[in-house]
Amino acid sequence: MRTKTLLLTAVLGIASASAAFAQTSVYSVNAVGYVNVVFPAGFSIRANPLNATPNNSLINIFDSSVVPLGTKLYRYDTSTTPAAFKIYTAEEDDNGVKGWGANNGVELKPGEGFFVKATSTFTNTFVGEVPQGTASNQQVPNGFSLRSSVVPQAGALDTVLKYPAQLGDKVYRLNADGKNYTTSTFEEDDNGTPAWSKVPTPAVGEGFWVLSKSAKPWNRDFSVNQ
Amino acid sequence: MLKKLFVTMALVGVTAYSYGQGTVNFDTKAVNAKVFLPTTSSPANTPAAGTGFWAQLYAAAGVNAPAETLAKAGSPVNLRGGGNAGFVVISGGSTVTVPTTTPGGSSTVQLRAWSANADSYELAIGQAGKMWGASDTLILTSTGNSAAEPPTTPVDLTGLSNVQLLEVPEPSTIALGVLGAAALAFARRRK
Repeated sequence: MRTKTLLLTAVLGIASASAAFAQTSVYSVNAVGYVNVVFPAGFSIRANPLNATPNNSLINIFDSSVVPLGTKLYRYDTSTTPAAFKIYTAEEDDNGVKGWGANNGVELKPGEGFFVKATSTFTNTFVGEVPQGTASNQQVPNGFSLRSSVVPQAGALDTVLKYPAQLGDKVYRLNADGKNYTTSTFEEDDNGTPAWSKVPTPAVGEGFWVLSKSAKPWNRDFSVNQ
Repeated sequence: MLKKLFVTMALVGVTAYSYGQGTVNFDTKAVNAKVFLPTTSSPANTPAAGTGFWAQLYAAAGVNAPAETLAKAGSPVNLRGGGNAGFVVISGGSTVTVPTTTPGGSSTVQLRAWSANADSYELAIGQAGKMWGASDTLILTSTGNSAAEPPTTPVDLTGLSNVQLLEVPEPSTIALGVLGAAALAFARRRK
């Protein structure tokens, strides 16, 4: 995936110092930027890598002018029993305005993966803030779910993205052909050390299946100063 | 003649339509199925380990396909060593494609293993100095479907049985055994 990440600005918001707090200035560091994510024709698993403003609704995170009409987005909803896919289609409304129809307001936060079946290749520019602190943490449900790193980082799932793997966990990454998966299992290696059979290394904006042995937090408590 | 051709083409079409492909997770550690050395080995129940052994999946479309109809699926891989002795764990990703009745449909699979001094499982069977063995056939009622919308994930080989290797001793070993037995018998007679 050709992903270009550029943190445009690190905004130092300096809280106004009142007379009472003249000696203790409070700094708030927000990292705002954009990420270009390629959606190839056919199926891919992707994720929203940044917190958009004012929210992460489909109409906010996708540039409707670049999403080809007829493109479908599949969200795996684990809140229902059994879990099921919800499908949203890029279409024009009655006035010819492009969007996601009645689903414009559906939110996709960083950390949640989703399938996209693109009718042709396109590149979407996600714009927003890098999740930090508790906003960079997420809950992984028991069983299957579509996930991604909350923090827009590429790299090894264990050492870089700090996924809290437990023995028996599996990760399935969809190959570039949009059809087949690369399967990785977290199990003891030949020396008895728990490790991934093949370390998953997702790119920024890439989602993947996680088959987790239990519900658990995936905490990063990330800071851009790390 | 033309009619015959049409019938043949129709049959080919039906055959092509009746078969598909599915995906499985070829990781026997995940389902705790091991390959063991022959029962004559000491100590008993020793797992076969390392590059001295190959393992490969064999499969055919549908449930209850006879073992002799199963064909090679994926590539042969060496068994692991150390704490994973006897297992198949593929470090490059473990998805293998198998034939099915329909895309993501049923398949009958079997794990076959053999000693690396034979070029294939078939060439190891019954040969002196070589080892070979197979698991029970395993029926998978469904498999991963790469043609589904969206594609579904490979299935585990849950229920796969262990493999017990067999061997035919080398002629020299047999000869030594016979000579030893003869020597013992001769010694007894003299007493």
